[in-house]
Amino acid sequence: MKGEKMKRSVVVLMVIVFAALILFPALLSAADPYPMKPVTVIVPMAAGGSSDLLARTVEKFWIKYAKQPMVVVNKPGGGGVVGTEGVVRSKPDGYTLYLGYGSGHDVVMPSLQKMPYDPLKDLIPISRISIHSVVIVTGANAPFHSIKDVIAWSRKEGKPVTTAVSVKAGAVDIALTAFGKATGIKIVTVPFSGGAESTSALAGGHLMIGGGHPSEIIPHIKAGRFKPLALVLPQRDPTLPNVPTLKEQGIDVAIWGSIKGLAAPAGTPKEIIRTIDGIIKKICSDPEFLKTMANLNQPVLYQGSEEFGKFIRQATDDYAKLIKQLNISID
Amino acid sequence: MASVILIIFGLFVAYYSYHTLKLGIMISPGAGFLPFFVGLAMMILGIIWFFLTLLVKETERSKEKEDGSAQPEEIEASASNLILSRLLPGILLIIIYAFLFERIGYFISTLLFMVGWQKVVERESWQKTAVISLLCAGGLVTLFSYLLKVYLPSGSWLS
Amino acid sequence: MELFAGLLNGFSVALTPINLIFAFFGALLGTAVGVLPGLGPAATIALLLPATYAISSPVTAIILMAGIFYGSMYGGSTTSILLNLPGEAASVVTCIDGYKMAQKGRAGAALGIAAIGSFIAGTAGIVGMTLFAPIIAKFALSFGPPEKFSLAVVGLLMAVTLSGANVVKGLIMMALGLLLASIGLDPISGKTRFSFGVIELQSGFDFVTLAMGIFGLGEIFSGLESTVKSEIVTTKVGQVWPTLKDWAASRMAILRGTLLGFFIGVIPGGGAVISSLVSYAVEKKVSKHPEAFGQGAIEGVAGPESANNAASSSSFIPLLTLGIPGNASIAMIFAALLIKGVTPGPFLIQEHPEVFWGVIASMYLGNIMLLILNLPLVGLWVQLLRVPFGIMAPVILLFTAIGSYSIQGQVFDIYSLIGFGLFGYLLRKLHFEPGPLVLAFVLGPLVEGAMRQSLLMSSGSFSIFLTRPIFLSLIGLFLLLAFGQSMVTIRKRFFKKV
Repeated sequence: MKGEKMKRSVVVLMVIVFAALILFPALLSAADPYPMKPVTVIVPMAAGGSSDLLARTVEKFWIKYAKQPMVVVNKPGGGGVVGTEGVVRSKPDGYTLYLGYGSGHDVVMPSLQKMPYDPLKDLIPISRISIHSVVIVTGANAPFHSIKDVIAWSRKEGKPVTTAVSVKAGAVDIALTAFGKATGIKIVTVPFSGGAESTSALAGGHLMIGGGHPSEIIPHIKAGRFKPLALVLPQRDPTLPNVPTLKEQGIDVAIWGSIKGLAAPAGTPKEIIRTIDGIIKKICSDPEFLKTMANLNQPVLYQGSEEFGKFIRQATDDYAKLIKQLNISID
Repeated sequence: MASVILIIFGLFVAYYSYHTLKLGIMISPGAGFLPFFVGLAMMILGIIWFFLTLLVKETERSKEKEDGSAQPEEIEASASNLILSRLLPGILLIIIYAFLFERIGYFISTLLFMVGWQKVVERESWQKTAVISLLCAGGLVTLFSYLLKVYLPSGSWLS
Repeated sequence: MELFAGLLNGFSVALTPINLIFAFFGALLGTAVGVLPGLGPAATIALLLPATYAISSPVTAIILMAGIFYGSMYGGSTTSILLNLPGEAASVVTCIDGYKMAQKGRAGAALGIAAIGSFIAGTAGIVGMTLFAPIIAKFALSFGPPEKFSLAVVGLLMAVTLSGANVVKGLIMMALGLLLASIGLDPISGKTRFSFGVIELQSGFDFVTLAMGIFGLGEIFSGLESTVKSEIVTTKVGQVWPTLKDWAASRMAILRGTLLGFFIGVIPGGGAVISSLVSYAVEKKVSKHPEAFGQGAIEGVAGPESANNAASSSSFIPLLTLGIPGNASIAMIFAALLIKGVTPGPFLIQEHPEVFWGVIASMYLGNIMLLILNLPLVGLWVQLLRVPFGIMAPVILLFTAIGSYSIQGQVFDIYSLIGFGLFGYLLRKLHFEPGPLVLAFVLGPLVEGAMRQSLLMSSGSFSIFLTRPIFLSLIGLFLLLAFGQSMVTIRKRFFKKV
């Protein structure tokens, strides 16, 4: 009899131990707050570009407000599609994120060509961090002093205006193409492999005008190599207070620019999204962060998850409308 | 023979570039522009190569008739033995390695690969195999994982 | 002169203990990174970036990162010579004659001359930087798409010289290389080419995977099928150091390589590769015994190695003087500086002279450190060749497999590596030289992109190429080189007949 009881109690004990072993890790992970390990943030653009700089600045301040560091990984290619797709297909556990959500390939490209994923459905917006506007500039030695000069020149000479743009079908490309269509002048956009390359080509005087983001352009304006002509946004950009918008100069073209936010793959739990959003919000209020961003000529324009989602949808629609209205196509 | 494959391949490339990628116009050569010409070049080069090989074979044949050499066949036989016993297993092993890499994790795959290699390709004893495999696998893992902090998968089948 | 005042100031900054330690550590890490396949200096710098935020002084941070960058140029030649494994594009040319030298037991001489040449070129490059930075920067800017096109074309034509005896085969290789390079997304039109729905092909093939596969794995596979080899090097290892004869032969090659590398390296995007190519071709053309090239000519190692080191020095110029990064590693350094509040550009000298001169001074020191590090290591590396093939072969396979996986975290890359390895094996059986293929792979996108950009700029007219002075002079130079030799030969023959 005693033997039987002993056996029984051993079995019960073993069952309890097993159950504990199985349940315990589950309890652990529920109790342990996110982030438990370093968070990988993918920037689908070249190193040193405006998105990359933003990501690395956020990386620097992230550790102040989160228990684990952020690791920025560049995955350029396909104008941004390759890296973003990598995030879309990764595990939605909050440890692989995408910074740069709202860029050309998210809000512009879907209206121009087939995408291997849907930027609105396959990604969850977490927070908006900045907006990189598009500014049209020309070389210091060029004969243009205002955007009107460019239009007048083109009409008079009948020749097309060559324009440097960072990537094909990106925000900059669309902005300049739209400008051309709206004014009726012929614009030839020459795409490069990123902002750094297009800026240096323009600096060398190889193209007539060019488009770029303030953080890439402003150092050259200060060095006296570029002259700003116009801003392609509805309102003026705080980093370039003296540059008039196209609308102010009588040309009815305005775009949302290149929006930069953080996103996670669809399926990521809501609590994790909220946690990350909270961290970003704190970073965007950090005075040191604001100072660094100001040095980089990038405005801090925080928006929370819900608002940001709405904003992205709005931007996508507006771009689609613009493309349809002006009959812009990729071929 | 290989030259014929090249010619056909070149044809395929040229066709694909023309049809799918579009050649574009002078002001803006399209995506298919360069590949099309590359395809054409491959076809032309393939043809030239084909004729060159024929020429060489002719001169070889006439030379053989003079010398009467017939050894090459033997050498080929022993070479093919080696191919079967060393090359093929080696290639198979690395393919299996790639297959298992993410599934059972980098350390175990590396270890298995080394063991497989030593036993099958090199025909080493079990003791030597064990020592070499453990040292190498351990060394590589330490290098990549700990020193360089490279991300290596731990195995989806295991977790 | 204020130049020397600035330089002295720079040395006082660079010689502080902490900066010396960081310079050494950077150089060491860079060398290691250069030796290892797959992991490049750009990725390493990116990994260390967060750590640099903790370093308060921006000078120290750049000294570290710069050390990694030019250190990797020293390390890259090691695997090329010993194992026929090029770590990055600039080291491919070194494989050709370097590996042959290793097979003949002259690995020590090759490694030694590579280190010495790299040191001389690197230092000379920095001197050039010190004296001519602003002028060189302007020169770099004037290289627009048409000029880049001409340079890349010249590079391609030079690549033909790598095809050995059979030019037709060399051209076939180049055609294949161009085709392989077209796989993936085309930046000018935005269309994906030849991917046939495979996601991983959307970004195309990675250079390191391709080069390691064709060169390294191809070599191993053919090694497996020939008689059972006991070692990679079957002949005696012999002399471990370069002889005086080697030195005499390489002197001019190093000089020419340095000049070529310095000027071509300033041009953003492609500098080091093209300069190593051009150097090889030039050396072959001016040599008194061009047949030796491809069989282990030391000039074929000395020239290109010097060229790529000079290029890595001069690629800092556009960054420091204009604020324009020329390649991925420099772009990382650029980002780090910006985040630290230092804006690289024309005002850098005025606003932060200690950064500008401090970095330059540290580069001098770094090069010396690298020479001291690398020369003794030559003896060690050569011992590596004694390891039995049965252990080396699988270890190299694993090494390269993990290395290519680490680039994007995709198993697909390992499969590509194997595929390229089999392809390289096939090429060897059919007696094709892989060099032109690999180089066409690198230069193809440059040529194509620059050509299409130029045509866009000129609205389709080819005259844009003819009206650019740099283009014309480059083509002229090439023609001179190409036909100059044959002119001499024709003359000789003519006179002989008479």
